[in-house]
Amino acid sequence: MTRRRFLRLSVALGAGTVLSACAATPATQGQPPAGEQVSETQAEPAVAALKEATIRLAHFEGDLGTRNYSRVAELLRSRHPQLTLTPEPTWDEAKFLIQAAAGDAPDIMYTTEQYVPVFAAKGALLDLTPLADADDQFSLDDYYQNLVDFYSYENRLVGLPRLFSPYVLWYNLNMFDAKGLAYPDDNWDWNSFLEAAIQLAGDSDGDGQKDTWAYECTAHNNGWMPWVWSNGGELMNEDYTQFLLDQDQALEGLQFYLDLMYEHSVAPQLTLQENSLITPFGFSTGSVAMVENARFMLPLYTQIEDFKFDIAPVPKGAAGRVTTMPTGGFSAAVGAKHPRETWECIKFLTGPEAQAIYASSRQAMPALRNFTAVALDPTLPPANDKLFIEAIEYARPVHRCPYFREAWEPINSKLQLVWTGRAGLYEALAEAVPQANSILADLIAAS
Amino acid sequence: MSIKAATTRDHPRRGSSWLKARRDTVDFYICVSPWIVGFLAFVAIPMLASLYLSLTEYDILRPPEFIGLRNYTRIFSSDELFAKSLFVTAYYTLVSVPLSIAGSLVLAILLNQKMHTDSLFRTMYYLPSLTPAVASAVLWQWILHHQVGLLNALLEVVGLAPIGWLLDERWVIPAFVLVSFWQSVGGGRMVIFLASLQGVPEQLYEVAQIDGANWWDRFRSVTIPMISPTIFFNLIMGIIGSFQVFTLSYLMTNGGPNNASLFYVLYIYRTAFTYLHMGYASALAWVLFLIIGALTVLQFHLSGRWVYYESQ
Repeated sequence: MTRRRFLRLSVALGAGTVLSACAATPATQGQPPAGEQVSETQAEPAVAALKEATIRLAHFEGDLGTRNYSRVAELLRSRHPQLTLTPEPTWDEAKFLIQAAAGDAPDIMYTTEQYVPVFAAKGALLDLTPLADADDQFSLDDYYQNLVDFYSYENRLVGLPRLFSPYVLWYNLNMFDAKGLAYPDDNWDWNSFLEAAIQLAGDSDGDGQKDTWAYECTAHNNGWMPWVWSNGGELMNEDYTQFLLDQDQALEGLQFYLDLMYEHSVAPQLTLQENSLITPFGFSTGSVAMVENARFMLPLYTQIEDFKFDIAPVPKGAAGRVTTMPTGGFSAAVGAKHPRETWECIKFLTGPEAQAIYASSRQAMPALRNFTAVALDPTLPPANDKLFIEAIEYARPVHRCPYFREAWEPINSKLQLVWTGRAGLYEALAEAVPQANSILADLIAAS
Repeated sequence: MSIKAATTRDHPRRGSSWLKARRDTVDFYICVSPWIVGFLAFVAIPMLASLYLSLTEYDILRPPEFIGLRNYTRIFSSDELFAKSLFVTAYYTLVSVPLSIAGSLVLAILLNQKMHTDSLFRTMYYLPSLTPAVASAVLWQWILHHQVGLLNALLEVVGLAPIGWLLDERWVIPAFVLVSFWQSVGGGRMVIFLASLQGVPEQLYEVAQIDGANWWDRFRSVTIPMISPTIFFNLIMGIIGSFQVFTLSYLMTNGGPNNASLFYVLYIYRTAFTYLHMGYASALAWVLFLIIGALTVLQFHLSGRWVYYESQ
């Protein structure tokens, strides 16, 4: 073989390999037969048999989520052998969008009350209303109504809720006992909270450095919005067309929160870690007496040895008691190849059998009314676990604005300086809120 | 000799050498075809697609909607973050590139001294450039931590007040300059300088010494002119690279505080994947391409005044 012939052969083989790798995948199972297009609004009778289908589920819950959903998939297959549910862990919604752009979006996506409007406004979510209406084995009354509203958009059902978890006040029993203080209760307001906090923060080892703290602050709006709302302030107006964070009641609530770090020194100042502002000392270290957080933290707290804790309602402000409530649920992509089978999977993922699997991790409350109390275990901490159900009465999502992430940017940027004590709150928001409102107005006009 | 015979002899087209030349041409294109295919598939066609998308409103989930030059109009008329990110990137470039080039040259000169520990020092200086970006980001976040960081501890030892390196708008870019200096000073740039220094003829230094030149005169009059093409190359590559900084900013500060470390490419990323404005992000990318292109052309134009090519 000559050198020239060898080169020609190598190039031909290499090109062939590359081209074969780039070849489009032929249509596989799950594609509707030619001529039979499945409409997103098609509602087949509930009694019709389900077709053989593989349904892809994208979720952000890491290994625990994959384990749970794999168990749900096995159970689903035992009930409906023709349905195969394949969980796909992903890192965030950006991957879902990239897959959608490539025409390869997963059929079902785990989503939250804040992202449902974002995707629904862009027409990315399948309208489940006809499927739900045609299914005589399904009733929306099984779910908490406000949660169903979070997974609806413009009177269309675009998802089903799986879980919810109001923010409550977690407190360290040992630290309260050490100071001889009464535990937080339903009567706590901001004054009683601050009085206790001042006594809880201090120098326990006498070296002149404060090493016990009363409260863990956060830059995340889930953590500080209760203080704004409880003072009568608002983040946005009712139809999410304007930011209101520069109004007096909102500013007072935020200033009270900031004063915990900079005025009263009962909370550690925030620090930068992995491009986010976080507290250097968390509740789980045992050196912070209180924190407001969701039930998602319960598995972590119960693993810590000799860590005794309980929960109480968030303190009442001048306008009463309001707290945040993150939720999670499932929506179907508008291009789902098997809408009815996808609907069956979403129903199953939020139904009682799947909820029993999720309940073992104790991370959140199930969205099914009749199942919520069953998820509580009175033999395990926190003793006041039922508060997660009671708090739903005064809990609300932070926002449901489709344009929030982009419009919020000027406020978020300025708050980064405020959280680290490098800018005053009032001046920062006086500048940032009008900018945010201008961006929001442009986005709404362009939509 | 007949005309026909002369024609055959004078025109290879009709002879065996013409066939050989043609075969050579075909073989050339066969051998270079993988590069051509790769260039078309991964560079040229995506660039053309990006150019088209820059004239559209495209949020991935819906088909692109043609809007003409509206994206470009918005960039230059009302986008404050465009100006901010360009300023941040230019500030970083103006400080980090000369510093890095000077530092790399100094290290290369040191390594060019004939010592038996050449290899050891060369390895030590090169190691930071091999550190993955994520590891560098985590490492330097701790070094630059305003409360427990090593750098502030050193400042306190010499009696200076600690600095909020990554929390203060005034200090966040100097912090990134420091990180990139650590990463790049002993890397490929230093190796290129070392090779260039070793290519300077010894006779030039001997002649200069005979003429009474001291070390500074020899450095200024012999070394710098002889390695000026290498300096020029590193300057161009340095500027191009610094305009594309993304990873460290994304990992360490995500553009904060208050967009003081919002590098241009990070802004493009945020516009595309956080805000879902693919069309606008494509327009921003083309503006960056034109800026880098213009700077490169300017450097080539100015190079005639200070770059010395031995062959000329």
